[in-house]
Amino acid sequence: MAKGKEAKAVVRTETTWKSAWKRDWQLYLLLLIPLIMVFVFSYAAYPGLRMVFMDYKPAKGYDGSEWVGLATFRKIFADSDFHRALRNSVVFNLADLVVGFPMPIILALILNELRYARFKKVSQTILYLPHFLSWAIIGSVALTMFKPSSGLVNVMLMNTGIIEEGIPFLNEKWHWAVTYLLIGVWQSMGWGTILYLAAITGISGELYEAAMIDGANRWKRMWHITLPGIKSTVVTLLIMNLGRIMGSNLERLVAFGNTQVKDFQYQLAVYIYNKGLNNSKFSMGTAVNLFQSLIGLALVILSDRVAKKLGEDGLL
Amino acid sequence: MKKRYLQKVLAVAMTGAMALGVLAGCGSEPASGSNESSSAQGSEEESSAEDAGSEESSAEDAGDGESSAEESSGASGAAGIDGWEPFADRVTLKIPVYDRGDSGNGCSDVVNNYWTKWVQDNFGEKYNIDVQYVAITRTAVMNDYAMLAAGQDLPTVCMEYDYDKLATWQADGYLQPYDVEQFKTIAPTYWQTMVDNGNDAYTKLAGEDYLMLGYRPYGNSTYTWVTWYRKDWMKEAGFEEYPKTNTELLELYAKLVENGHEYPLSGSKVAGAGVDQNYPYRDYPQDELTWATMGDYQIPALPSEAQKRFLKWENTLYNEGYKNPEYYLREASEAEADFINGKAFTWSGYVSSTMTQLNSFYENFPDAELGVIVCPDTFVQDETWGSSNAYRPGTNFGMMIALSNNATEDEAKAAMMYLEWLAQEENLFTMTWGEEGVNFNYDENGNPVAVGDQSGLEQQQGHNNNVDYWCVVTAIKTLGSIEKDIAAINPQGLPQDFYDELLANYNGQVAIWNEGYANSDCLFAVSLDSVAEYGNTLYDLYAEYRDKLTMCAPEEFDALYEELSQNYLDQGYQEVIDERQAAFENGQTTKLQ
Repeated sequence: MAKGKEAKAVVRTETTWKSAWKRDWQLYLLLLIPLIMVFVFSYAAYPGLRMVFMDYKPAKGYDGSEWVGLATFRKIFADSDFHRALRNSVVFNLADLVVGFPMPIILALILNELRYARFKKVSQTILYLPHFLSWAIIGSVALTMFKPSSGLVNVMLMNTGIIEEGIPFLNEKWHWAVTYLLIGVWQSMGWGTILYLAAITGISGELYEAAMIDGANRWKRMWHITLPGIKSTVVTLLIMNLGRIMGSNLERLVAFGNTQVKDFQYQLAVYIYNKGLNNSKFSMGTAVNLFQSLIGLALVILSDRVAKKLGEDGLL
Repeated sequence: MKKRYLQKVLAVAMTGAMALGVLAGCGSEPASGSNESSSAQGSEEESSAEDAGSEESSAEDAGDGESSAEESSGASGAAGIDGWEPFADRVTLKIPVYDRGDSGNGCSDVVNNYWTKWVQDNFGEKYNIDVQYVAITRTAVMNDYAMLAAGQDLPTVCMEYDYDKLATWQADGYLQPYDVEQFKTIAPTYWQTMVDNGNDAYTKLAGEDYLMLGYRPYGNSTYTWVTWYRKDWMKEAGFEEYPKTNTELLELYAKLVENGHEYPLSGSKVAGAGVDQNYPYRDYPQDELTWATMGDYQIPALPSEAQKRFLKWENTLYNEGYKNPEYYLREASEAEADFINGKAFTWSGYVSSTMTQLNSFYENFPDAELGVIVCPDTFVQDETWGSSNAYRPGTNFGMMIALSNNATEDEAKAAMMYLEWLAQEENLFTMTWGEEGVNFNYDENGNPVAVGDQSGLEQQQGHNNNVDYWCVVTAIKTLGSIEKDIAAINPQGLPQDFYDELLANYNGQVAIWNEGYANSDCLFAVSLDSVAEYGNTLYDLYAEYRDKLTMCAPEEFDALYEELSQNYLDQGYQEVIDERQAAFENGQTTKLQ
């Protein structure tokens, strides 16, 4: 009899909501906080999206503003400035991805190979620092460094006789594009290594020992153990980054903007700010933002499917 | 057991606190300014609770539970301030005030300082009104108002110096009309000033009375906007007096560079629509239709002949090396610093008795000699450049004030009372000059002279002697005559005195105005959709194009101008011209004087 009772107790593996709540209610209460935050800041504003189908006037509110159907979208898609902003956003985000995405991986691999712990820590801290600088500060420092004739870099190069005329780092659009992208990489690459370094620490040390016994040198160990070990992290981050291909960072663009490079600097964030917010055309700004988000979502889903087809875990 | 119980209580308490913290962000608290001032106002309310209580009871004694200013004044048969009674229930009056950023505000906090408290103590408490100031970022007026409107939290009145902005607000439903007869009763002094200056003719938007208009003394001149120049450099270059034409100016600039003054004109990027004004590059008398359709500066008239002349001049200055080649990357503060540091020939700014820029300049160069550019009193046009000493005068009105759509009847009355109270001579005087012996002293003629440096004083005034508070009444502080007024704003405590030149400049401008070479902009009594639709876009485009035209090679200028000008028209300016023309032909505009 006693035996039977014991067996029954062991077999019961399913937990009801009620018993789970009774056991862990403190944890569920804690879970409530992030859930409320996500709800409030990500979903509670959704009803406000109906303004994309309205000629929304702030003083008239939702009730007083006129419904216009898809007129706002039609207007945006017919606007040549929108085309310019869309083209620039896609091109620069792709370029950012191509130039910026591999850098943290390479950096993480290099940092991982450093053997002197103190040097490694100092290097990491220095690499993380730019992440904490605002774009306004980076922009003004860049201006001081890269002005065409009075910037520090150009003055040095001219004084040493390497160049005769200042390089237009910030005031000619192609030079600007390179400067803009490289400063972006510099700002984000250190911070980006954190996830990869965390993934690397998860790789079993035994694999490396075995490889060393088999005579694999550092390059081979990196190539055959470290990289495959962080592959799923790389794929996850790649998918997440693809979702941002339509996005753009207004602070970064404003910090580096001037009238000479508007051809390239005019991206969707600038478009939304200038034509939407600055012009009190909230419907227009919201419509472009919604468009950005939908394309971003589609790209994430698509790349997730592709990743799964290729045998990866994917994101969703 | 006890420990577990404690843990549970703590967990619940922390969860509750954090959840509340999250939800706190979802309230409908008003935007920045009023938020910042809430704590102070709270304490003011507390301290005044007793007074308010007694006022309330006295109002009830009067036998009218629904007491209000107008009804009270009506009951006593007296119009204006003498007939006012306090409100029975506390009324909140929200007044916008420009926030010009740390360097421009004077006092540290525009919504809560000695002078805002002074208004509350002397006006608010007396009539049971809680006066709250709402900070409006000077460089983002439309945006700030839009945010307030979206939160259904517009101040009691909306106000701006630009007619277009008021017209847009009216069309977008921010405003409500007001009862002129009621205004005349509550604010007879204010209304009389409007009548005396002909401003009662400009109250209407879209056929209804919306605007209460502050007064602009000397509206036919711009004498407070002054350009200083290095007289010592000019003399060194062999010139006895400041050139009257652009041709002569070019000769002077060439000499300045020869004398080792690199980039004498310094320069900074275009900031704000008012920068590239083409009034001195127009032909006079102006063609009325061109004046009505392309005559303002809010949307720069790139395709106009005047703007072309102006930009050609800029192109020459750039290519001859008189302007800093990096001007388009530089802030206005850098150009100012150039002047202070002896690297620039000129600097322009509003003149006031306290001028930190000039103080700093003379600290660096105690022996330097400065001059003020004086407008010649006869019309002089340069044949080569088409330039002249014509200018854009102001109007007789300064600030334009309208009731916001969410102002209640009592709030509207409180707003009218505020205008009338501030228009009283003694109140206006204290707001503009401050306290005797602290903010100003009387000179031997009995005229007030502002203290140059007020920093650190508890009574430190806001930007330009509190202008952002008293601007609702007058745009410029006045003592009744131009001589006194110029003496009052003549910069103090400097090695040089500029009184004579400032007066000569004013007289020169008035002479030009009298001769018909200074015309106010055309005003539209209707809101123009194309202006609201394309205004900002065109301004952005202009900033881009004007730099391209300034920096192109001189031989490429004409072709590039044609191309960009056409593009500008295609991007919306043609629609603006067409709509303005239609309004002009329908008689919905002012006429060229």
